[in-house]
Formats: sequence, structure tokens, C-alpha cells
Amino acid sequence: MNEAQSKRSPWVAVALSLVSTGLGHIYCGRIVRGLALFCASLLFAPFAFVLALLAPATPVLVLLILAVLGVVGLYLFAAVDAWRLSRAAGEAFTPRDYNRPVVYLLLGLVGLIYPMAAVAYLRGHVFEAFLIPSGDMAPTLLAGDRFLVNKVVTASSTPERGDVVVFRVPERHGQNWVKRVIGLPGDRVAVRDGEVFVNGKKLERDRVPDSHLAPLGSQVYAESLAGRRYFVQLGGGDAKAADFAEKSVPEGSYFVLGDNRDHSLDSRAFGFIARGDIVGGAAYIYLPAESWGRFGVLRP
Amino acid sequence: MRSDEGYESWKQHRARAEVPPDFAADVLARLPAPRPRVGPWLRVAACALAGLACLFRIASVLGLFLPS
Repeated sequence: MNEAQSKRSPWVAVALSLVSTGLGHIYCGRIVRGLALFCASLLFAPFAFVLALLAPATPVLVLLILAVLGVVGLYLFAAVDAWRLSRAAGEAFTPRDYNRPVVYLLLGLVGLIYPMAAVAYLRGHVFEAFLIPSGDMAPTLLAGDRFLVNKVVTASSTPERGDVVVFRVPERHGQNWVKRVIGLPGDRVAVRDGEVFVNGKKLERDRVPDSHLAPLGSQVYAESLAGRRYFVQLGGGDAKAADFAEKSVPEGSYFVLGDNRDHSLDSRAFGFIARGDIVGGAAYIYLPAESWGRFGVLRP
Repeated sequence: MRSDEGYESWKQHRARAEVPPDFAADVLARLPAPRPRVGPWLRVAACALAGLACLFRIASVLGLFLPS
């Protein structure tokens, strides 16, 4: 071994790869493959952003899950590959001009900080996950469902009638609730004897016979609003739907109801919600509570 | 035979050549300094830290699906 040669240690290569994807390859003198792996490990965040811009569809959710799992797989693959390369490099390795501590330090810092910063950004501005703790939105969302909210679409457009939105509850600091938008700014809304009226017109409901969605003692209906059809649940238990005297929805506010009409704390109780309190629109159920048949895009 | 004698004489002359007094020190100075050996405990600690860093990175990425 001459003065310019040094051994590539497998454990150093693996350790560097674990800290930052591709760094172990650079340590072994494979800068092209190392930088390719490093850049590939950064791509999941822009990829998720692009997916948020697409129309909601179950394949989009599948792609998002695959992207996240792919990044984790890439982390592990890079470590194993770096170990293999360091063994192949053997004792006689001539360090390249990029085999410097400053390169390892910079790429290591990026590799450590980027995943945390990227996911914090994604959760704040693109997708955020929520867990349903109650049955207020049954049968659309069941207690125990885990779903994703798309914040990109909500930030660039206003909610429509029939959208399922997550919003902050001003009276309950730190809590986010999910309900369906019934009335837009300027609409006249009312609830009488369980029937919902928007601009004086009663929302049509068709009973869904023998629905598997309905718990014992309740009945599921398909309700129509602004050309959209969704399921609502009535009855079950002793609770009865609260009425809401007709009011106009103020500018910049929305009237929201839970789909489980007789067991929902919604605008009938706490009034209108402000546009600024809306976090985003419920888009995907990624971990359904009961059946995998509800996995995917939120219906309708 | 005369050439053999000449060669032997030359060889004995070379063998008696004076070595500079700092020859050994000079040779040692030119050798690369031996690297300090990394102890096994340091290796294990570094690998454990790297493993923790990797777990932190994986947890960060999977955190996208962690409910608020």
C-alpha cells in the first residue's frame, strides 16, 4: 500500500449511508451513483406536491403511499449497496478529491434535516393526516378512520356545497373537526324536523334500503345537494336532530353539518365557520376503521 | 580470476561505506504515520448513532401519515 491509498471500511460506508443516502457511495469513490441516490431520496416531497394537484383518485393515494415506502426502501438499499461497494474497493483505494470531511458534513446535514423539514412542509401546506374519533360523519367517515386532507386545492379555491372539510374550532383550541359544507356565503339555510333547506329548497333524500352502512336502529339516506349525492344517517339512539332557524350565511363563512344528522355537533350548535378556519378538504381514507373496501378516495 | 578479485574488492569497499548518522531517522520520517486504530466501542457507538439517525429519517418520512 502506498501513501495515497487507504482502506474503505464497510462499517463507515454503511454508517454514512444511514445518515445520508448516497454518502456511503461517495466515500467509496462512486460519486455518480451516490449523487443519484442522494437526489432520488429528496424527490418524494415534490412528488407528493404534484400528486396533491391531481384530481382525487385512489391510484393517486396508492402512488403517494408507494412514494413514501419507496424512500424508506431507498434508504435501506443505499446502506446495503454501500457495504457491498466498500468490500469490493478492498485495501487499495485511492481517495478522490471529493473524499473530504466537508463534503461528508454538508451532505450528512442535508440528509438528516431534509426529511423532517420536507414532511413538516407537506403536513402544513399539502397533505395532513387526521384520525376520526367519533361517529359524527357516519356513514361517510367512521370512528377510527384515518384520512388525508388536501390543503393545496383548498388554498387555491373555495369550498363547494357537499365538500367534506376539516376546520379549526375557535372555541376549542387545537381541535380540528370534520363536517360537510351545506351552505355557502349568501345562502339561506335552515333545518326543520330533520329536513335541511338551502335557499328555501328542501334537500331531497332517498332511503337506501337495507344498507350495510347503517348501524342498528338507524337508517341511511342518499341526499342530493348541488348535483352531488352523498349518504347521511338518521335515527339511532335517543338523540334527535336539532333545528336551525333560517339564516343567511355571512360573507366569508360556511354552514356545515355532520352526516350523522341526529348525532352531530355542527353549525346548528356552534354557528357558521369562517373561511380562514378551514384547514382543507378531506380527500383520501388511507387506513379505514372497518373494511378495506373504503380505502381510497373519499366518496362522493 | 583478476576480475573476480576486483569485484570482491569492490564489494568489500561498498560494504564498508559510511552510513550518514541520521539515515535511520530520515527513513522513518518518510514513512506514513500509522493511523490510530479505531476501538471497537467507538465503531459500535458510531454505527448506533448512524442507525438512530436513519430511524429518525424513516420516522420523519412516515410522519406524513401520522394523524394530527
